[in-house]
Amino acid sequence: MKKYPNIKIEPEYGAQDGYNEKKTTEFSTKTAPDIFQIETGSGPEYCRMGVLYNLSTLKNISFDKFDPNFIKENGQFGTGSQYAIPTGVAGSALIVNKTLADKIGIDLTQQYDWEQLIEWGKKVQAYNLEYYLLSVNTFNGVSFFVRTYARQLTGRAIIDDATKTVTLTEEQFTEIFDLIDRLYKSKTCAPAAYKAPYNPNKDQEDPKWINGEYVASVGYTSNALVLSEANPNVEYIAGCLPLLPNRKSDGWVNNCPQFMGIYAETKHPEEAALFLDFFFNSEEAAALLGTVRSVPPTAFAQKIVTENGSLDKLTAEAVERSLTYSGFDDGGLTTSAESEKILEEAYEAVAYGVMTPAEAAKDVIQKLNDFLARQ
Amino acid sequence: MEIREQYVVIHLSALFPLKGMAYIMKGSSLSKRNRVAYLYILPWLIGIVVFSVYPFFISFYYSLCDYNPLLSQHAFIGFDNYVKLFTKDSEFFKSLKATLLYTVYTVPCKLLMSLAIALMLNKARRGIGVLRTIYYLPSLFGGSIAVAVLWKIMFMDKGMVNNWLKALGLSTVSFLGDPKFALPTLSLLEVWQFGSSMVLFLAALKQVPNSLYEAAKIDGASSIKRFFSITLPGISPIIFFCIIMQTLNAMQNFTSAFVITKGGPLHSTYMLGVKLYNDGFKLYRMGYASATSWIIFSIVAVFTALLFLSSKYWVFYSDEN
Repeated sequence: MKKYPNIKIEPEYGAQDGYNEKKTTEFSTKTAPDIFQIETGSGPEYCRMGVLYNLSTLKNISFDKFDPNFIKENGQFGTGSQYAIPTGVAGSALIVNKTLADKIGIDLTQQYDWEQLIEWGKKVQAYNLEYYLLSVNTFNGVSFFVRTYARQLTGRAIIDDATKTVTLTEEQFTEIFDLIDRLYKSKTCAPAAYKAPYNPNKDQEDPKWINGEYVASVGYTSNALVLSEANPNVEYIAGCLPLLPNRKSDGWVNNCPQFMGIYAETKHPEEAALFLDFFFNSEEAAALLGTVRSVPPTAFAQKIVTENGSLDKLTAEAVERSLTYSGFDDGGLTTSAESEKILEEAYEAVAYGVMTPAEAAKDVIQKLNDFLARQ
Repeated sequence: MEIREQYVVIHLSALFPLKGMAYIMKGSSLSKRNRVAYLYILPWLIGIVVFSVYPFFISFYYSLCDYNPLLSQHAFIGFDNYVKLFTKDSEFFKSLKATLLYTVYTVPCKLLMSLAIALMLNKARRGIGVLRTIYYLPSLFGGSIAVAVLWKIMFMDKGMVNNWLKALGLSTVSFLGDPKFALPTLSLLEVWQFGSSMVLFLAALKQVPNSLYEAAKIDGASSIKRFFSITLPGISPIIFFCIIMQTLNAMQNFTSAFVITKGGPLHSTYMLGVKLYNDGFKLYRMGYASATSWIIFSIVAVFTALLFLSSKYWVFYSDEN
């Protein structure tokens, strides 16, 4: 950087596959870079493990341009200090193939509930047996169905971090897995066996999505553009998300696509803070970064990308739709790798029909309790 | 005899560097020529100590610890990880089953395939060199990520293999999504990489003296009799070697299971290699993962020992009566 000739920045590309595993090795050997990107779900775990620098103690970075609530909810992890910075605004999204939805007579722009979703799923099957209402795999199914339904049901995350207890009863878990069971039995969701080989959040690689054989894809707002580019002959819109009639919370999450953080063992915290300050607070960086990490996290940067045309209409629409839901991010132990694994295994077993919802609920409660006993 | 000599050479070359290094350290009277030779192998020696010997022993220590790599803390807990694996972790038995099934599917099929192709290529005919190269090709890039990805794309529901089945009027199969088919599909990839065993068999077949076949022919032995009484005993040391190496490979499988199926669906391809990777790098339970790796090592060690014990009944060396 010309402005700071004493600082030399060496960027290193890190692919998404195996990113967290690589970070684990770096933390273990104390060779992590000074600044690194953090997957949203890993943020709370990294903070708890003490590998993130407390950014609130640094003088070279300012958070004034961020919405105070947004930055508090994204990157403080309940500590009261800033440990990570959100790279953008993102949230749950239902990207809809409007061309197909119109043909079948499904309107996903009006608010609806989970039962309606299943009815529409049957309608799609009646239209064409090869077509499905939803494209979703196990990973996204846990994030968007299991954890969201749980939040709508109880208004809380599945695990209460303070007491280290499971907040749902076995009956409530049975209700959730019963929904999953019905989503697959009614063929509202594409069969689990079909979706198994595809990577999460990469529906653009699924020939059925490319051929326009799904009405909608369940995922994140940050994927909207790439999903729409899979088939330019189709009109895509951002649809509404299902809600439980007597819900305690909307459940659908608005957070960020990733965080940026500084390594706790860095020898140059203030220099790292200088770079992050440039990254988040300078107009030059905002124009350069555009929307590569979804909609920028600050109002001034959002204005820049809107004016220079780098914010596409579908992403903006998806973010706007997502913000209409007052969900909160689980974070903490609920999204820890082990909890996710437990939920994914139960989800998969129900989706494949090898476990009943009641069996899955019992299994999940027992495994989560075992996991919490070790914390 | 050749095989035995090779073993001896391997043992000596493994021991001498250490002895030689000791001489160098002491400034002994080793000739300059020998000292230079030992200096040449010094990089290899450092490499094997740093990247093999040290990790080997330290992993055993970690297997006795509750070790979280994020915290870099390891509390000694004795054999708790092993006890837990065998008494509380149902996933471990699913993993063990998948790994053993994979070994049972791949090792015999791969050896039979490589022997059959080696027998076919052991005949002098025009263009045989090109044919041998073609058959060996899959082994050159078989273990790579790229081929695993290619395999995945080929066997997906809308992949090339299902398109062929459709074109033939057959029903399609969910090769990677159906728990019944996922493991055999991965096994097929391993069997396809038969080239290295084939080359070893081909070399061994060339070593069987032609005079034995001629004598047997004069005595009226059929081709089947000649195969079982001359060929198989003649190449038995190589069969023995291939069984050990292929079993080792199969028990340690990771790449194909991780890249193609991630261990799924429903744990049907959740090999021990994938489990220890997930335990260590995703769940941050490195001590537990180390215990799994020592169990894999123990299984392979026991299997190899049994095979060595049984070898006196079925492995024949040409220097023996």
